Amino acid sequence: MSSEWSFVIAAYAITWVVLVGYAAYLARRRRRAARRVAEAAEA
Amino acid sequence: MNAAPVNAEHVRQPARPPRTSPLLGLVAFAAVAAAQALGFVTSRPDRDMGHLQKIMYVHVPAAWSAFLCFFVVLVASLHYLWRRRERSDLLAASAAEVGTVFTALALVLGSIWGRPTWGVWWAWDARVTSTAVLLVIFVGYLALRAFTDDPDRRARWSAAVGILGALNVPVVYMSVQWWRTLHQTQSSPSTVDPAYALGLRANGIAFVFVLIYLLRRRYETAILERDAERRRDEAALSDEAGVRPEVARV
Repeated sequence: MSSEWSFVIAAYAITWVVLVGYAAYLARRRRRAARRVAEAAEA
Repeated sequence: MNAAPVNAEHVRQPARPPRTSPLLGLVAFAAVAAAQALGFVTSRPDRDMGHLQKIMYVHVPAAWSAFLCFFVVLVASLHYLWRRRERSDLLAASAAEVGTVFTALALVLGSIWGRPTWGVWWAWDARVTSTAVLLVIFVGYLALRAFTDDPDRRARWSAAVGILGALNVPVVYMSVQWWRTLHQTQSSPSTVDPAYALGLRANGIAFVFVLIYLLRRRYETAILERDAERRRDEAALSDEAGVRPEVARV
């Protein structure tokens, strides 16, 4: 594999890690926020 | 700027968060995968850069997405200062965070592209430097929001910083024309080789789908977090009111 492909693969891998990772982070953060709202409503 | 009084009706009523379907996320990420496959299939190696040209399909759409987010920050911030609607502030904050992620991604991808083509990971080039300044401004915006407790003051200050930051976007965009340094002029379907236009256009559209999905998810999270913050403040106030007579007796 040429070194060109190493850079291309690295770029695409980072793109997917960042986008999917951020989407997963938002899903977790949203669940936490919804739980806090529910707890505050109960209190 | 018009300092309209805070509309108590809009401040007190918790905004109902939109429900973003997970299907939108699946469609958005599938669109990115399909667009990337299309870009790989339709683009032959570039005469000068060879296969490195394919980095354009992620680097340029990431930068476009960041610019779009900061345009949303500008419009929502101006709307907040005009009407003092809490939803506008939360939308601006959401777009700022998503835009910051896309800006950081564009910078990292540019660095990966720059190493084999320019010979360096980083250069104090006009485009790279102005993009880094844009990133620092919006990291500052997010820090400002994190360290300010009063919701109204937080919204006003961050609207001002958001507008200033968004006004930097045209400077970033035009930097390759105004200061001819290392970075090539703007890449768009009309300026690249026709063989690459389809892939660039498809990836640009696919990134917009992902941007819409992430922005909606972040916005609904912001509404929920604001609701939790409001309930916590109200509970603290009612506790204080309940405790006060005893304090008076002591």
